[in-house]
Amino acid sequence: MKIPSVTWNCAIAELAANEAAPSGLPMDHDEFAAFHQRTSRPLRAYLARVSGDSALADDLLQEAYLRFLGAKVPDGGVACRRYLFRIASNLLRDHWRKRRPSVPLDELPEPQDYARFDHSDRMDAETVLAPAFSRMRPRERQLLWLAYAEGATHREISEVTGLRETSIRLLLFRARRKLAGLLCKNVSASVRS
Amino acid sequence: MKFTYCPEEHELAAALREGRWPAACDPALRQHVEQCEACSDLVLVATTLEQARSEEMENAPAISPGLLWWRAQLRRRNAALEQVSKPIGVAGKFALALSIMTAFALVMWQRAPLWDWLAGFQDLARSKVAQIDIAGQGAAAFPPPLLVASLGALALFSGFIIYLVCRPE
Repeated sequence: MKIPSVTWNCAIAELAANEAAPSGLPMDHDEFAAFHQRTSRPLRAYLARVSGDSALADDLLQEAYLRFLGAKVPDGGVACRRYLFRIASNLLRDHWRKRRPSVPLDELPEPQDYARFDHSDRMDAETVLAPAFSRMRPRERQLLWLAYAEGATHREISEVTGLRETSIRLLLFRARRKLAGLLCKNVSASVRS
Repeated sequence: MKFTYCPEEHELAAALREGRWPAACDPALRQHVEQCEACSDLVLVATTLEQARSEEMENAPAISPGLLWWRAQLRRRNAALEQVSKPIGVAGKFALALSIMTAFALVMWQRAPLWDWLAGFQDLARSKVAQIDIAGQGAAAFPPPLLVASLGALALFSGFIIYLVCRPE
C-alpha cells in the first residue's frame, strides 16, 4: 500500500480550508505563507546579527510571527513588514531587559553569545564583520543593520526601534563611524596575520 | 566625536541602495568618496552589511509557515478559552466563599438545637447502647429537620462548587 506523503504545509492548509469557522487570525493561510516567504529570511538575518545568537534568533523569529498573527495588523505589505520588525525588536529588547534588569539598552555591553558564531565556513564579510559587530552595543547594531542592510529610512527605523526620528541621524552617524573604525582595524589585522 | 554631515551622502546612499556603486555612478562621486571620511565610512559599512545580509539570508534555515499558522490558531483558541473560563472561575470562588459563610451563619443561628443534639450524643456514649430508650432519646437528640435539610443541601452545593474551582484545566 502506498502511503501518501503529507507535509505540514499541505496538512495545515487543508485543515484551514476545511474548517467552517473563521480562524480569527489577521491573514488567511495563503496570504500569511506569502508574507512569511517575503519576510522570514530578512527578519532572521536581522535577529541573528543584532542578537549575535542564532538559536535565540530562531526562537524570537517564531515568537514574532506568533505575536504578529495574534495582533491587529496594519493594512499593506510594507506596513505589515515594519510591524513585524517592530515586534521582533521589542522581543529582543525584552530579552535583553530580562537578562539585565534596569539597565538601559544603550548601556548594555556586547553579548558573549557572539563567541558561539562559527566563522569557519563564512566568507570575508562575515569574518571581518562578526568581531567588529561583537564590540558594538545592541542598539548600534540594530540601527546599522536596519539602515544599511535593510535599507530602511530614518522614519522606518524610528517606527521599528521606538527612537525619535530626529535622533536617528546622529546615532547612526556615531555607530557608522565606530563600525568603520573597527572594520578597518580588523581588515588591517587580518592582512598582517 | 564631531558630527559632520556631508551633502554628497544622500546621493551616495541612493547609489549604494540602487546598486549603482561603484561602476554605474558619477565619477565625481567616486572621487569625492576617496577624499571624504564620512562618505568612505558609509561605503565601507554599507557594502559590508549588504554582503553580510546576503550571506545570512542564504544560510537561514527554512521554517514552515503552516506550523506557525497552526500554532497561532492554537494560541488564539487557548486565549479565547482562558478569557471565557476566567469569569466562571471567579464566580466559583465567590460561590465557595458564600457557601462557607452561609454554613457558618446557619450553624451560629441554630447553635442551641445543635448543641442539644450533640449533648444527646454524649449521653448516648455515656450510657450503654442497649439500655437506651431509643424512641425517647432519638427524638431529643435529633436536630430540627430544616437544619438537616439545609446542611445537606449546602454540603451538596459546596461539593459541586469545590469541584468547579479545583477541577484540572
